[in-house]
Amino acid sequence: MKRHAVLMAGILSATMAVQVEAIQPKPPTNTSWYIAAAPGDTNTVLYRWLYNKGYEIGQRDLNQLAGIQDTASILHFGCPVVQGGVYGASGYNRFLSTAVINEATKQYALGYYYGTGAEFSYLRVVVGTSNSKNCSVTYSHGQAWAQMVRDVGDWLAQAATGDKVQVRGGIDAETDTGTYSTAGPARDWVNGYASVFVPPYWLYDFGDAGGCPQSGTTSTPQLCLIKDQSPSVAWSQGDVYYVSYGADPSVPMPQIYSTGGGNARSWQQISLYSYLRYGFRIEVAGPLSQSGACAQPPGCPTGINNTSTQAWNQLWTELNNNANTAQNLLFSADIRWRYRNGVLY
Amino acid sequence: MTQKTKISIVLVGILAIVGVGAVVAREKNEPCVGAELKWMRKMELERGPLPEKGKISKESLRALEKEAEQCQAALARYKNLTPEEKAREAETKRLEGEQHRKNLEEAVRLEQLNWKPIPDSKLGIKDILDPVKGTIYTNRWIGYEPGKPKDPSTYTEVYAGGFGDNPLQGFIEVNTQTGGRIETPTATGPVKIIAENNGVLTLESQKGEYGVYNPDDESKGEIVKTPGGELYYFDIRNRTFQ
Repeated sequence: MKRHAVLMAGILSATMAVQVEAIQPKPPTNTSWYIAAAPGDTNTVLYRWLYNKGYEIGQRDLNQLAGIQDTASILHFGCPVVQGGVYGASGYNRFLSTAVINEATKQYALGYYYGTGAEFSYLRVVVGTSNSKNCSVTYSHGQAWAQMVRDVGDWLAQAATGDKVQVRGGIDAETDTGTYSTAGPARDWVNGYASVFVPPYWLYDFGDAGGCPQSGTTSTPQLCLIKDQSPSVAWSQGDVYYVSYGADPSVPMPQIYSTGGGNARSWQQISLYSYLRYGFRIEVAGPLSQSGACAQPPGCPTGINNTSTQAWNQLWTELNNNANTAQNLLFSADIRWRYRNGVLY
Repeated sequence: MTQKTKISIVLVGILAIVGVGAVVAREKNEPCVGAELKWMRKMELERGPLPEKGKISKESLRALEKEAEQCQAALARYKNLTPEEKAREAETKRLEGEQHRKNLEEAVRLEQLNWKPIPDSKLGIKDILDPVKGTIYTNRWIGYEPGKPKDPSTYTEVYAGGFGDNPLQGFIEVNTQTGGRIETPTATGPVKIIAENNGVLTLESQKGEYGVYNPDDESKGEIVKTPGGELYYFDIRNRTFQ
């Protein structure tokens, strides 16, 4: 009897070790922002707001979280826009040139730098746009965006903030061709970015794989067919792969919003497609959730308000359920609005 | 079971428990060694010698290490400071940060002295450039509340559209604190603003076919046909449909 008890204790402990190893602990989640314009906004008002938000994160890392922090924060400036020959983004209803976005990003970095005090925590700022179909999703815009990111990076490299803050590019590349571009323009934009890209100014794709298969992937790319759209305009798994990872600068940091786990399954299948077709998995940086945005009136539709923990666990579990896609993740991010329904946050 | 076997089993159990503890504890971050650098080094260990160029490459590893050098230099310098020097630096940095904030506040204050309302040519019915997941937005109206002075507090944005998970039901969304989302009196499809007259918006419901938004799998779900063609009138002042 005693022998059996000892044996069982050993087996149970070993089993526990295996089970706990199945979920990589989530690091602290950093806040990302839709940089939506507010009434009375000017560029300087935006700079002040971003400085204050960067400072808040720095203070959080210094005073509320133990140890060195290493996080990523997306600043989504809206879709790509060219106005009067000047490249920029929509600013969600107030055009922001790349010069303004450059300065705004620096203010966020400065805020973080001053907020962290003497601690050597660091922040990766992802400067993002999208492939909205009503906007300038073009090769030349991708080039301009990459150049802006490099300019910010060069400034950080010679400024004191460079100890603590790094910059990356970002794109919210989505597959719903009712509201976002088809794959062609998105690929063009990414290729434009790639033509100016130098490491380490990678392009984080924080978009989606909407309509993409959640099982049954082979080495032949399948369509990501959104139900009310024609197959002739649909993205394929190959397109999602290319924009999020296949292109040289691209690294996926996908939206894992759906509480039912569908987003995580689709992205695991993208990774599996990569393995079956090219012999390697994609390397996913981490999930983006939107619980912050969903908590801001008027909220979100039901079923896409994963918490950051749910997003992390779903994505990690799906990727690691298959040896060919198994990996650990780097970052956890959650996005919310700067301005929504009359409230400046 | 021999004594040796018993001891071995117990040791395995203890090691497993310790392993559990080690795995549960999140890996601590080292100063100046960011997650991307750690990942790239791991790729090198996993894959062997990296190619010169590409996403996972020597070039990428060098770039990440160069980024880390700046931090490492600052850290090395910081470690050599005495506690008094560290305290002085922290205070200097704090004061610099405060001064920077004050400079921004002053710049904003000066700008606000010259504030002007948005010109009429830029107001009115506009397209929406940026979609929002799971919601059908068609267009928007921007302006100042009719009959009130033009300033940031009277600036109003009104969005028109329909619910992604119920495309028959249109709504108006007034982007102010007292606004919110107001459903059209009848459900005939997402609505679009087609005119504005003295503070009253005319909206028309859209005829079409819309997929009911399925958050877990956008490839599945029903298609809804909306009849469209219905006109609605929304009073911006009162925030009500007439």
